[in-house]
Amino acid sequence: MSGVINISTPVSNISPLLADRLESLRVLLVDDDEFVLDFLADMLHGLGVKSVNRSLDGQAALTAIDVAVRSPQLVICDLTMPGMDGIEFLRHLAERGFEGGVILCSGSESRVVKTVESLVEAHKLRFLGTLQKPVQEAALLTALMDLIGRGPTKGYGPIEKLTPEDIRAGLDAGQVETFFQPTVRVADQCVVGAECLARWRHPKRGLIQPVAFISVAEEHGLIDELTMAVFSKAMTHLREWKRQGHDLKVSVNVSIDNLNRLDLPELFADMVQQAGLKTGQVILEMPEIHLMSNLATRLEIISRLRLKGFGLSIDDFGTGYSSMEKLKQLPFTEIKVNKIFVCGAARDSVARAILESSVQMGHALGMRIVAKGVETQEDRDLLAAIGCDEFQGYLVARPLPAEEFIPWKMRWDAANCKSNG
Amino acid sequence: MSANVQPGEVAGHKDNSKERDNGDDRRAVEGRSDNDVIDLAILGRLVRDDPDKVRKFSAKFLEAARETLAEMEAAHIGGNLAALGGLGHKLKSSARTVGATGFADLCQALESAAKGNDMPLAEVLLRQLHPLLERIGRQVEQETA
Repeated sequence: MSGVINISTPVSNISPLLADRLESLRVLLVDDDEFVLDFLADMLHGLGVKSVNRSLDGQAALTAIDVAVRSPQLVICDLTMPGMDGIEFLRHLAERGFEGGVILCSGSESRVVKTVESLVEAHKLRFLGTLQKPVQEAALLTALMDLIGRGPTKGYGPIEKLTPEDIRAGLDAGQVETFFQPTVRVADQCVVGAECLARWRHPKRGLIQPVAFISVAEEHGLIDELTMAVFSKAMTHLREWKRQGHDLKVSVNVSIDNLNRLDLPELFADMVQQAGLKTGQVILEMPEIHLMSNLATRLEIISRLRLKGFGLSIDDFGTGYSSMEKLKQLPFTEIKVNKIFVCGAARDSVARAILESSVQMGHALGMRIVAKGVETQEDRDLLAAIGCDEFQGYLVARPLPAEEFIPWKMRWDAANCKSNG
Repeated sequence: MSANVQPGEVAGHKDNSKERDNGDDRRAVEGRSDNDVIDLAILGRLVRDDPDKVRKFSAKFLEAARETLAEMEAAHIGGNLAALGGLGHKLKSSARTVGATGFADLCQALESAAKGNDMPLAEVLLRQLHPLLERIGRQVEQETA
């Protein structure tokens, strides 16, 4: 979840399991207004949270984190504070490798909030959303649920990352799994493909999210092998779907570090060919925020991938600093708009404006526009109104295990797809 | 067109909604009776209508607001418009929380006046905050007794 939190979760609907998790949650509030600190602390206590620490400014909060025996699992932070403001505080938080959740709590204008939301995501902090002041209990609870209301295989609070040795051994043992989140065409609601998402099947910890292993792989020279493993599995499944009569495309995430490998285009093209597929069925997603730095050195690889017919997608668009000028020079075929500018856009004029301008600009450059994070029919209707091409999000489906994808697709298309193809 | 678009600049349109009639700010609280300077039902909804919490947080707001107004006066005497605006920003959230909507609007207007470098307007707004806070205090006392 991200963006303004306004979904109501009835307070009475807290299961004993979640109540236990709330009780043990460690929260740090950062706000220069003692009234707000008192009010939020009181609200958290009312929800069952026992450990609530408070800081009146960013520096005091950082000190509290540095000296804490047990780091907070959640920081709720104001933006406008004297001295170190919330924006600077969040940067310092990211530099410390903070792995807990972050909620913004603000009375600032929505445009500033949107920018900060992008920044939080760019810092790779675990962003749970923004609470508008005055804070409503149900909205706060919804945000807390997003942090603690995860299955037993998914942790909250500090993430226990895999070690490089785990990753090495896991790659050898084939522990990488692929899930698929469907992409649907706005015009006719038909499934057109899926984004391939990596998961790790650890023998003891069960299914693990990418946040626990991607950065470790990147830091220890294992990302190429990981990406190849994911790509290979994606091709295997795409081939099987084709054999079953489903002509789909698949998006695969490419780390920016992969673009240092000169033979990347050939490796990918060979795998596609061996699977009996076409490169045009494969879209390679690259994050905007990392793409635009050191662009010159990566431009050769990007261009050669496009020459071989791969689709190229700018992922999480809106979080980087792309200019029209730079985009014109790049052979990208698709823009994937960050969910911050999509989720809740029907009611958020700032998000809507950014989404609309992304659609207009992308179409002007001949690119397809895909919206991420669609969770409501209202937002889906907005996409249709502004000309967005495709979308994905919980309104359609969460990421699905590979073996569930086609049965799900058939049910979805039967119920929703307006085309006969 | 830059990808770093400013909302309001999409497709050549400009957002004029921020152009304000400053007279509205000056007239912000004229005509309000003591009965409607604060709506404690707003606070009540935020605290599950717990009367103890309504009493507690309305009292906290009054205390915080009096302290902040004193800081505002000091900032005004010192000619520090930026500080005045910052204090207005800070106070408006707690005012909205307790249902002192008119007071919150004045604080927001003060914040805007500071950003617009308009000291005369800020002074006008500041002069309205004190009497309004007194009226809020009287109403809170009556309703939470």
